[in-house]
Amino acid sequence: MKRVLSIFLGILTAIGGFVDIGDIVANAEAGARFKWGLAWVVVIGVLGIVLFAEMSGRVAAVSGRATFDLVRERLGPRLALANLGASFFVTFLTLIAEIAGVALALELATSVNYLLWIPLVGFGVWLVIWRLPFEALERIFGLLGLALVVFAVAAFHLAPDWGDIVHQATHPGVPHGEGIPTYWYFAIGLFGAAMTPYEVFFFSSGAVEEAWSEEDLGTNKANVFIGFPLGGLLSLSLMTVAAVVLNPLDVSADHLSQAALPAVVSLGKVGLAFVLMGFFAATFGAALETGLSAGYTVAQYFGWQWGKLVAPRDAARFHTVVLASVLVAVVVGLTSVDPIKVTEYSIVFSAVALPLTYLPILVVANDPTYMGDRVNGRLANGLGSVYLVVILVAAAAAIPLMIATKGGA
Amino acid sequence: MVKRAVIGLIGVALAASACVGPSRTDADYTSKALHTVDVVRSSLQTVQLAIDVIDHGGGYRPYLSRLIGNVEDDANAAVNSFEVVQPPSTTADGVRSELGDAVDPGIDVLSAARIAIRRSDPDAVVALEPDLHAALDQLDRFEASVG
Repeated sequence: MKRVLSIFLGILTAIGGFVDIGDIVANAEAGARFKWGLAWVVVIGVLGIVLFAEMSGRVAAVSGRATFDLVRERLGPRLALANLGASFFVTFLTLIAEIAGVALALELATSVNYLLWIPLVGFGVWLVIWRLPFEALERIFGLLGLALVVFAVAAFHLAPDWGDIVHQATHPGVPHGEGIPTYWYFAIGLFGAAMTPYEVFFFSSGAVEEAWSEEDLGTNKANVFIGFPLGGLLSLSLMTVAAVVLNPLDVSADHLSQAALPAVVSLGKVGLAFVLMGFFAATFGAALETGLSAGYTVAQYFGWQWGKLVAPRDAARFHTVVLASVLVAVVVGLTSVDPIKVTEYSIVFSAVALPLTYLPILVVANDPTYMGDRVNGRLANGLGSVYLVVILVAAAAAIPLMIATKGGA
Repeated sequence: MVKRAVIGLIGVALAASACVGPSRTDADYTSKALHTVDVVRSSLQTVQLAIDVIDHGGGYRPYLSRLIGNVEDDANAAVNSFEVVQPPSTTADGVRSELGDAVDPGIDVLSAARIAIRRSDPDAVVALEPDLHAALDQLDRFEASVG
């Protein structure tokens, strides 16, 4: 019974923890501009993260080692260092976006300028990472993130024409007034938002933190195969309400306040309360994950002691990297750089860095030296190879499209 | 060397995607004017939704204050960005002048809405609805005349 409860909580945490600032911004913007014309990208992105998160969780459970630990071993120190540079840059950019996202959520709740919140949020993120046990910090914010189910409730309450939604989602096209490059730029942004590299670093390092073994492969599968797709439904809900409320009025979703608006129109103050709680929990939880991931990648590359299961004094360099990352992210956030633009860039650069994360996972998941008889099956390898091609195409096209469309303007 | 090239590429990409470029043709200038109208319309329609929320008793002042403040900033930024673009011809001068007339009422409504909500006077925001519709009509007329 205890194990069932643990798996159930794990699934709920995976659902609530699935959405972050990148998903919120990308899905709301895509819904407002393209209605359901990009829903297929969310489905592909969720399938992709399911595939690779399952692999990285399995690798961690069987080998007892996290992703970046193995990246260096398989790629060699020089290539792995380049990989570390790119992965850390994207994770750090995402950390800035998440901290600013928490501050923006607090601004919406209090009307106090988000810049005043940023130092407090940075301190809060560091304090929680420092003080809270790993399982607690993962569970608390994952479960609070379930408040974003309000977007699914709002979608039903708005009573859209579901037949039309299914038709548009299955017959995607570029709407009148939008260019083809802009459509594909948003597609890559949505893909990058669903498959952000830090999710894999955090997931695999978390598996090591929680001392997963082969006995936990069932938990891994439940979290990934049930939790992530249901989390993906939250992303689609955000897109749906934006498509129903904002698109017909030509309203863009360039701010967190506008992303929240459809749920407020549908459900009033109660809806707003859930939205703000959900935004806060999703972005704060993701700030913890990106902060920790910054420390995980660097510490695992250099072979330092890392993690929250050991006393901070025994993992001092890991905690220093986490603290320094949070501090610098706070400083960058305080420069009044547009947080939504940072988010947009972070998801596009995530797409650029995806091959660096996912190729090594695919290689290691096929290596019997690490995996014994738990290597990938034919289906996982077939899908993994197809995804690798998709990821490479998305990575190659991301920056040219960003320049050509002026960041999707 | 490679690291410098990558950092340079990222810098160029960010700069190139963030700039408002000059206009060499009337068509491009008009397209920028229409984009400005789209941003102002989006801001006004956002305030319309805020009015609907207030009408249905769902207004929460701090949230509405930030919402209206955000979209007012967007509209002002779009208009300011357009104003610094050099008109490529005397025909474009006409577009510039017409755009000013078209967006000014909308900008006024957005400012009035922001002032009212920050004074905790949601009824005054709702009372702006006729002016808001008139400002939207003005944008439609501009679009029809140059589009």
